Amino acid sequence: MLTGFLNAQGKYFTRDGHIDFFSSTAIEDIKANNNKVTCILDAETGEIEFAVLMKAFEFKKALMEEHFNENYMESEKFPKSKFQGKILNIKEVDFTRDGRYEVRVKGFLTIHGVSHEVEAEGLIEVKSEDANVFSEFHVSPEDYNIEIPGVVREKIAKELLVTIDVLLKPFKR
Amino acid sequence: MKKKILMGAGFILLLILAYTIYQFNKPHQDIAAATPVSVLNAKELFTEFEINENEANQLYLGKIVQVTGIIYSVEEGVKGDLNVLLMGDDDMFGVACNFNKDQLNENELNNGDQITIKGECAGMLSDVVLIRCIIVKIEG
Repeated sequence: MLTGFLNAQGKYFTRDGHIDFFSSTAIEDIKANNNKVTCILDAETGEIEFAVLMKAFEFKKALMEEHFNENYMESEKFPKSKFQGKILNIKEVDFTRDGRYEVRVKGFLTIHGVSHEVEAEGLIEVKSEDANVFSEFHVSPEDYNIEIPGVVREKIAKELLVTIDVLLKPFKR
Repeated sequence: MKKKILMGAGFILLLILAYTIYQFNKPHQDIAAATPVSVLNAKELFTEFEINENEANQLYLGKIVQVTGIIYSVEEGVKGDLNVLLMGDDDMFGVACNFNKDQLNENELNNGDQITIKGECAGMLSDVVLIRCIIVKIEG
């Protein structure tokens, strides 16, 4: 599936991208880390795709991870989340010149089987051959039909802070 | 008689409390001690997912597997974790294994080595992904 897409020039890829989300309430802080995010970027068109396995989110507390997968995300039913979009100002990024470039991304975020169009700001840091992509944005579980029972609702923030830190390398064959 | 009942009830309450505290603080599964649901090589695991991802997820998602394979690459992740790619069916995608920081010294591993690892299966994106991995054996 990816073979054709990745064979052409100007493509960047990683299978080791990092995404974490953070929830802070008066009761407790929750953080989960995922270090196996795949990301593909077409430097010519600005098209960018992220794919995320829900079962690759690691929590400190085993019980929290269990609730996350079994009760909230229903990971057996929806094992993946994804983002498919475009960097709107890709022409402003010079992949041949080291530097930090502010970017705007727009696309569809699909979580728990629900898709919404989202827009976010980010940063691409070009360093020799690689492109490090950073972004921070908020996600509201309710928007994706994620049901959090009343008993624990106060423990989880209304909006979660999602952080993207992904090191893309040119795809060479 | 009443005193005995009160003590009995108190004892049960204590048990419930202890159990609740244990559950709340229960540790992640000890992967080294766990019996894997399957012992196979990387090509086999990759092929199972390639042929029928849903069926493979039924068998492996969230479960511990033990996989043997040839190292294609070793890369440090952005957060200091370690990523080892074991070759699958072609020379592009395979079984991607993530080791937590300090779990492993990357100098121990070389491309071309055959290693056996144990980890928790998180599913498949382009590769089959295993997390919380530990090394069982290295045959350099």
